[in-house]
Amino acid sequence: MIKKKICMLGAFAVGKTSLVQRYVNSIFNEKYQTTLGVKIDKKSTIVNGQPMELIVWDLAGEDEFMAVRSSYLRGSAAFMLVVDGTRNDTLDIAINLKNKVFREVGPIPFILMINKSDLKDDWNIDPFILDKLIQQDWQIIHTSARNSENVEAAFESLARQLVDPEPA
Amino acid sequence: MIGNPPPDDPSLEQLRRLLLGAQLEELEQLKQKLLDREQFSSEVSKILPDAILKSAKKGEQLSQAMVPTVEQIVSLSIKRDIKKFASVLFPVIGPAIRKSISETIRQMLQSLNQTLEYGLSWRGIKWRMESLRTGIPFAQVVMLHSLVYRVEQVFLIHRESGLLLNHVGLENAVNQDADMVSSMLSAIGDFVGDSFQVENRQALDAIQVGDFSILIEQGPEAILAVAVRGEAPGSLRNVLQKVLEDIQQEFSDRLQHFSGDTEVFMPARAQLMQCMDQAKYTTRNKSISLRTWLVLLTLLILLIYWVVSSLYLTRQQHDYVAQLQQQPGYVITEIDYADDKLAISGLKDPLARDPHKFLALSTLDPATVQLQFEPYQSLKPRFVAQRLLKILNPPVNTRLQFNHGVATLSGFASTDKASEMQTMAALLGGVTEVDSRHLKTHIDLSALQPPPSVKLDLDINNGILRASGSALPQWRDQARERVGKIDGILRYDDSLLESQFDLTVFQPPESVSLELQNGTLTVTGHASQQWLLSLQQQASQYPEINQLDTSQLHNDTQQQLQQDIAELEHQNIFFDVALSFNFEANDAFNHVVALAQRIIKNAQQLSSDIQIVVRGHSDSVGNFADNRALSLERADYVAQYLFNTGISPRFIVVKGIESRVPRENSAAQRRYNRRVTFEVIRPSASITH
Repeated sequence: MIKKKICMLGAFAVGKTSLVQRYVNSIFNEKYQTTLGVKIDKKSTIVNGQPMELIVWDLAGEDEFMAVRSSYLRGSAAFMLVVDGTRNDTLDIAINLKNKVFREVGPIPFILMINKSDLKDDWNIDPFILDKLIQQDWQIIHTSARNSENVEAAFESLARQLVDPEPA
Repeated sequence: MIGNPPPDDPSLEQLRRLLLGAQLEELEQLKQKLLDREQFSSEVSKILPDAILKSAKKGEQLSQAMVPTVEQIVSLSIKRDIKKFASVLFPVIGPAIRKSISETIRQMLQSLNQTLEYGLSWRGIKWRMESLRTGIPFAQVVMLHSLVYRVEQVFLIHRESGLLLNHVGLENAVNQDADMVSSMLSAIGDFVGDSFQVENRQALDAIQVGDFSILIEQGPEAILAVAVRGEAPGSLRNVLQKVLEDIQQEFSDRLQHFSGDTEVFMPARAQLMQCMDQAKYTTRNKSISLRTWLVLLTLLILLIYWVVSSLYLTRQQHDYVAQLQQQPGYVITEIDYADDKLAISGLKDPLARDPHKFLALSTLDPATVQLQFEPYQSLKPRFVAQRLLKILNPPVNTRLQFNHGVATLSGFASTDKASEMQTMAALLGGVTEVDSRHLKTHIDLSALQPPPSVKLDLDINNGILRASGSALPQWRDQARERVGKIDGILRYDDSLLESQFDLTVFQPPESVSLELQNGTLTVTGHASQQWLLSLQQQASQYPEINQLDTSQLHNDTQQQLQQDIAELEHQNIFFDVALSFNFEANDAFNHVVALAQRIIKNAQQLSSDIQIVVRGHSDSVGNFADNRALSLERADYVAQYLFNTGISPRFIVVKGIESRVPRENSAAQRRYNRRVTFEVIRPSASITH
């Protein structure tokens, strides 16, 4: 059995937990997040015919008062960066977080989830920055925790990168 | 290889010989070996043991192939000679059965132990409630509570990623996803490390909540976390360290290059299981618990109590029956010991002791004893004697004895009572003879010599003698003394006897009888004035005497006085012609003196005032004057003579003739006139009584 630790990272209230909830069945109450700063969930999946367990560390959202504990990042195989499509500042925070992970853990696979695609009309993301990120080979997926759009696909995609980091 | 050429082709045969030559020979020999049964089997026997060994090493194929054959062999062998097979199995079966039995007994005891421990105690009830409330099976609740500590889960965690490498746990203790728990644990570890800024190499090594704790051992690449319920001893920590060190060493390479594949840590299960083996329970003593002993002891005591008390009860019942049987006046005809009740029936003499009385003395509960007796008369001497006593009711003065059928009556009884007793005794069953020879119906009271004034009343049955009437104190005292010597008198009562006045104090002469009645002392008979005077004097001194009746008493003194006076007045003292005293007349004169003296004395006693007139006389011869003088002389002469005898002159009056004396007709008459006579005069004529 292959087990991988992946982290959910993003600014406060971007919808990390809702996304995880869409993907997994959780055993821990959300209050863990506020007390410990992390909530752990698990998703068993099959990638390329190989069973895999994703241990999802749903870290408390980063904001100006509270930083993500870098110790929680250790040992991560990959991570999700979550951005609220209606709040442009969350993208900045996500970029900072990505840098933080790379500093702490190294260059591990990640996917940028731009959440709340159901509210695309209200989106306020700077497309210029997005273009730049795409140019830097960032994998960006538009998701909606509310209507499940692309949620599973995003996780599956990340999982695939973990099984076969250099696809043939 | 050798194909399948047509056998009848000589050229091919030739070619074969050319090509193979000597090898053909060898082939032929090999063929021979295979065909020769003897040779082939000896060859195979050489390699067979090796072949079997090798085959067994490879797997179970050979065993499986041989199972039907072996089974057939065994069954055939049993069919052929079962004894042989039994003797082979005997050394195995004996110990096996013994072990099985002892194990069964041990388990039974253990289960009894536990049933008592958990079933009867408050704790047990509490756990059952908990089991009902939580839905966890009771056995599990018991186990959870009774263990000192127990390792429930062991996590082998990749230190860096917090990923679970391997996990073992008790089936019922694992209720969360181990992967998530494992990650959470490392998250908590990180959280603590970050939050409280502990030094880098130090890390969380224990989490404790109530009686549950998680011990965490940190290795360079792996973390060993064990979930422990109860009080984990320090030694557990050493075990964990040892296990973690082993794992670190064995899986060093795989830990360093861990990329999420946990498969490679499967072999670590053996080490993790070592941790799981650590447990200790409180009820693990295989000996029987104190509680069990107490329950068994209580049961034993109850049993002993029951046995002893029923034995005691039986003993008591037998004792009581024996007691009843020994009692005179009882005939026991039926005894029934039913359950704890005792029913006795038979005959009972009414005079026998009350069975309830000595039932009260025994410890038997009277409610459990049922008695039913018909009355009968026992002829045992004791009862005959009792019945005699009851029926005859002999008076206190009578003694009744009963010996060998003979009723002996002695003492005293009234005639009626005596004859009644004799008759009744003779009629009574068990009495053969009545002896009343010594029973007296009379008591001789003559020794008391009662005066007529005393009435004696004798109650012979009770031996009581009552004296009534009156008697002198002397008689009373004498009677009291004498009555004690009279046989048959038990009590003497003289309370109704009046004490008589002793009239002898008056010293009455025999001629007098005295009688005192209602305060009047009546004197009858005759007595002297002197005694009468003393009586009058004394009687006034006694308060008992109010009146003195002397009307029937004749006064002797007065009578004497009258007699004496009469006699004196008949006396004559004769003189001669002259004044000469006739000495012949001396006797007469002495008689006169005696009379005169007595008259004076009695008159004095009677307080009677008398005087004796001494009168002189003369004959008619001569003249009157001469004669008168002569008569006076004669009277003086006698008077003088009386004085000489001591008579006081005051009682004497001298007188002569008062007138002329008539002429006498004869000398005798004249002589008769020459005399002195006496007269008694009473100045006061009455004599007082």
